[in-house]
Amino acid sequence: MALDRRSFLTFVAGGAVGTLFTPVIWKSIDDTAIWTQNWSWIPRLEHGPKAYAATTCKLCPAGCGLNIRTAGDRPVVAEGRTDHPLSQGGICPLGAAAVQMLYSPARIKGPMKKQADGTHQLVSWEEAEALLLEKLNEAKGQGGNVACISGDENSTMNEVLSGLLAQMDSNRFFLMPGESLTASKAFGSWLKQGVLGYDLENADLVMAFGADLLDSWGTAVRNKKAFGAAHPIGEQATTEYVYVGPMQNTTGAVADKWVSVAPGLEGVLALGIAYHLLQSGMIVPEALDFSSYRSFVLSRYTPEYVSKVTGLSSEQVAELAVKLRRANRPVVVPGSAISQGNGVFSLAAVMSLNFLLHPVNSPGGIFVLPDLPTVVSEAMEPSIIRGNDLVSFVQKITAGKTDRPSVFLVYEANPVHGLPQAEAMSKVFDDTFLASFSTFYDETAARADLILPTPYFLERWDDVQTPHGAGFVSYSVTRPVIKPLFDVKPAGDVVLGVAEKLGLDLGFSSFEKVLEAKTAALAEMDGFLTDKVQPWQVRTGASPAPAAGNQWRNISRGAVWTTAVTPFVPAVLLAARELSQAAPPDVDDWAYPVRLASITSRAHGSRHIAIPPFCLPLLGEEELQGKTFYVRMNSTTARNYGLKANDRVKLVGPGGECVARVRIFEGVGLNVVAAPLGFGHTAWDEFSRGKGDNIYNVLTVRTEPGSDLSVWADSRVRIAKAY
Amino acid sequence: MVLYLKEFKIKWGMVIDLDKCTGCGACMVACQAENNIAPVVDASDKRRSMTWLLVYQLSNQKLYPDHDVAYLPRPCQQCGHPNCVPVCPVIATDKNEEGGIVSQVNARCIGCRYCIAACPYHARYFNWHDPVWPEGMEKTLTPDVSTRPRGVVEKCLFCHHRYMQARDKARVEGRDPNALAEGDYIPACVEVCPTGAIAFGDLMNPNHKVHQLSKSPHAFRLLERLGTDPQVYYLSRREWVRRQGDNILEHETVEGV
Amino acid sequence: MEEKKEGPSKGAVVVPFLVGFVAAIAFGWWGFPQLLYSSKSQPLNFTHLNHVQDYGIDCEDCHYFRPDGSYAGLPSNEKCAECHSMAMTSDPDEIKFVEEYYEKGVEVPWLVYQYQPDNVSFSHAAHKDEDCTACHPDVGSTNELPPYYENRLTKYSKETMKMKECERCHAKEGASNACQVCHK
Repeated sequence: MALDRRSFLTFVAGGAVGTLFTPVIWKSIDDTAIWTQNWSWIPRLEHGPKAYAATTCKLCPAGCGLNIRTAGDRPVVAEGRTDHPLSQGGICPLGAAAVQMLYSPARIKGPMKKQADGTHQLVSWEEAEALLLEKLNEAKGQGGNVACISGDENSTMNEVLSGLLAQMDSNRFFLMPGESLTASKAFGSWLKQGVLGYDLENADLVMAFGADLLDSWGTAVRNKKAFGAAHPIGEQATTEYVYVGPMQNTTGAVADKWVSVAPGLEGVLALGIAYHLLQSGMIVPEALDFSSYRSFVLSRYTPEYVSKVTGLSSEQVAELAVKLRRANRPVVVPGSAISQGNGVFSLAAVMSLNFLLHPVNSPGGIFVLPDLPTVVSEAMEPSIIRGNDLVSFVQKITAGKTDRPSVFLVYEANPVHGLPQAEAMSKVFDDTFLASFSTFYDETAARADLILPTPYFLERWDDVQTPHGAGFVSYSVTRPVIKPLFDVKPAGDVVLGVAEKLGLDLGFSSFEKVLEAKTAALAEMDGFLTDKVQPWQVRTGASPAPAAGNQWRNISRGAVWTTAVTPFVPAVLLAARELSQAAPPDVDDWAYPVRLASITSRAHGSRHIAIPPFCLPLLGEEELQGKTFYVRMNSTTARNYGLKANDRVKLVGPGGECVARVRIFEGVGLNVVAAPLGFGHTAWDEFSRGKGDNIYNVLTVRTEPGSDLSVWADSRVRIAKAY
Repeated sequence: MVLYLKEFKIKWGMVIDLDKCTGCGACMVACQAENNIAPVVDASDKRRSMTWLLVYQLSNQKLYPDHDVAYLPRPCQQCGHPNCVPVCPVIATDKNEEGGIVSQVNARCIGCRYCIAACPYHARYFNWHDPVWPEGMEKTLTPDVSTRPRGVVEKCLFCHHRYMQARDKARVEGRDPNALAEGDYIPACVEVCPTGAIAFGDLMNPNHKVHQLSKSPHAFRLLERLGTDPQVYYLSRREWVRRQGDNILEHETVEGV
Repeated sequence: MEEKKEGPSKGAVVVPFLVGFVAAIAFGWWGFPQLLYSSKSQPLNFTHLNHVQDYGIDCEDCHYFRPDGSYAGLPSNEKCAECHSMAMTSDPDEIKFVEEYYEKGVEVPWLVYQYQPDNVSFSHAAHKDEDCTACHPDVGSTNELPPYYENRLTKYSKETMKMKECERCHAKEGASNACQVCHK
């Protein structure tokens, strides 16, 4: 039978019918559908047992405990730690993004050297360390020819770095400017053994002046935990929170009461309140300068005067005084909304309320928190470090009043972006050798002659000593939860190695050993681990079991050490002299008529961390739009300057300017413009680069009379519509 | 489909205290990490950013100095009568599991986006683009939530995988997986909240805190008058906040004031 | 008047139809699976029966529940190395395990006959009273690991259970068939 057309078609028909009785069609369709579920460019999940590693966060100075969840050996999610007194299970948006930052595109992959054309090229660690050694050798023994800027206030790294400098006869060791500097200028004369802390947990009234307590100020997550505990869900608050500050920022929004005061005028209001407290007969028996304080306040800060300067009614001021007087355990928290740049006047004025209300070291008030012992030989004492004013130092150099160091070591800090009047300040690095110890390619690293990448905090040993704004002493360790992903080396090890080659003896061979010694040194103090009893509970009668067992073993695995011992304070000074000299002038500044309320939020990163990828969706449509960011002002202020919502506006300060769009926000005081720090990055990665403008550029540094401190929290600007 | 009218013995629910929420956004970040949501370079392009949980800022609309703000975190409301379910042509989303969580199965979704149009809470998101993680960051994906390709809709599931894990833990420990204690199962956002503004539990169980809280005179739900019967409650002592939970006319008062 | 053509004989229609039909059936049931699946063998031959019978190891010693309720599934190198950190016999598979995997720190890439897609979350704890072989091949009673057939299109194992099988059993047992019970 020949295969003609007809029989072929019949054959095909038979085949088609036959196929219907096989799985070919159905299986192919089904499998194709499954095939479309797994495109090769979409990552598949990797399985592995779930485990946790307890560590301490280093992304901002608040020192929260983090529980890093791992799947197999991969860190996947950062969670809070209920056993850590500084976070108690909570977490901030920056800490929540901690694990993903391991793989930030801005990570520095290995040591880099700046080339003649300004680009960075990867080099070996041998070459990088040899270059550092060479530069330090040149500077050795020439006094202050080497300077160091540390962006980490709480790490024992500061001992290693300051020890190195001391042995090279330099005392030019600086922290990035913060409020402990202001406190040191105000109270350093009598408070040498520690810092002042705020016992929020035991207070029944918390009044924050300026300090953005519930977002970024001090021990932010602990503050929020204290606030949360005092506001049980669905019940009446047990502790009232009052925010005195320039805007309804996070703290102003959620506090039980917001009192609007322009930045820089918190101190005036505080003394206005002090006036009422003094009138009611309150005294500070232990203050040596009480009488001069009293007469200064009573003569100058009369209700009429305070009302005129702050714009609040006399009744409002009196009401705040009544609130404080009626409370059993009130605590007043001084600060600036950006945790930097406030003056001695503001700090001492607000702090004096605490001294008036109750003696130092009373539960629910302020406590002296002793410094922890230092272990690195010749390391600078913490009280000395706190008093070093980086901004004045930089100003003196740029003004030619002091010699420029030939070598700058910058550790986990980003001064090129994050100093006030940043553009002008960063000129200090011209014609010097700048070495940056940084995890990320920030603006300072981008400018550095040598980059010595540090491991990310999830890859290294580090520690956190009592952070600024804490209410109790604490010590906890940061430990590696993953092997370094890149060719990085702990800065401590690099410095110790270089010191040895310089013939200097810091007493340790590795940074891990330094931490071990630090932990051992804690035994000098009568401390305990916070597994069962929290430090603030001790103040109301709980008795902890003293720390026992192998201290390093416990602490290196996440235990938190604390002590309830507080140094005896026989006498205090209210800084009456500084108050009278540093009082802000009454005349208005017509050249820069608008007060600038800078904002820092953990949602925008921190001083040394640009906004993480996961925090970007937190920004609303009127915070960042494409590459443009927004500044906020109320409708009256906007109208006065001919501005409308969404207009482009130029902010001009004496040292620089920047451009933003206008967001009308009625939670900002009159004649105040609120603007976020942390934008306008030029290095970093595509997630943060080029977004918004750098408000640090328009901050204005002035020298406060009396204290000689550089101050910029009360910066002023000129605003105008930009075209 | 009448399945979604099924009554449940367990209804997982949230009560969010808006007087405690600082709007910090830790919950939003924790949500992204927990649910394998890819970061986007320009998150101000709201077609690209996925915010299963989104914190809104509310204003009392008054001028300075009488102004007040509140923050309102908006997860999926897990409605008792969800609008998204009946419009789904392929049953990719459904409300049929004990616990009352509205499901969303990305492998089944055909991307028609009817549910997005139907949801009055804007709680659903469409993958206009394939998710892209910066190089290496895909190593931080948890094994608990599948990645979604472009072309499908996704939304908050109250960290449903944590519910499954809590049930498994109960089973292995010999407890009844249908009688979880308060705290056995907690979504990531609730766990990380630094002020403890979110309570979570079984709304039907009188031993769970949310049961009482949801009956508070200060409690309200979003757009309650639509009849969606959400399993997410909000608390505020401020009347203006409660009024913003629905389209309240000027002459009307909010219930329970 | 139309011209009447002579129609084809019945055989000329039926025979090609039948040939096509049979060929399609043969291809569909025999050839197609050959094309669709590739056969792979396990990287090592693990002798389940010997481990159970000769050494008295229980299934649960290696395939156990973790305290958090998750299922460990296949043992890791570490588990195997509790006994096999050094080769105890001259068995080539054992030597290969020690030299190729354990000492190099590489986990054995076992082929899982029942590997479910990412969008499925299967709870072993919920099924712990079922017989393992209801879903998994009965590897425990032999010393040979059966060949693994990989679907060339989907890359899943031929034996991977399909949704309808899960649903059928859930319906029969009265377990919930709600989507999110199994999907993630």
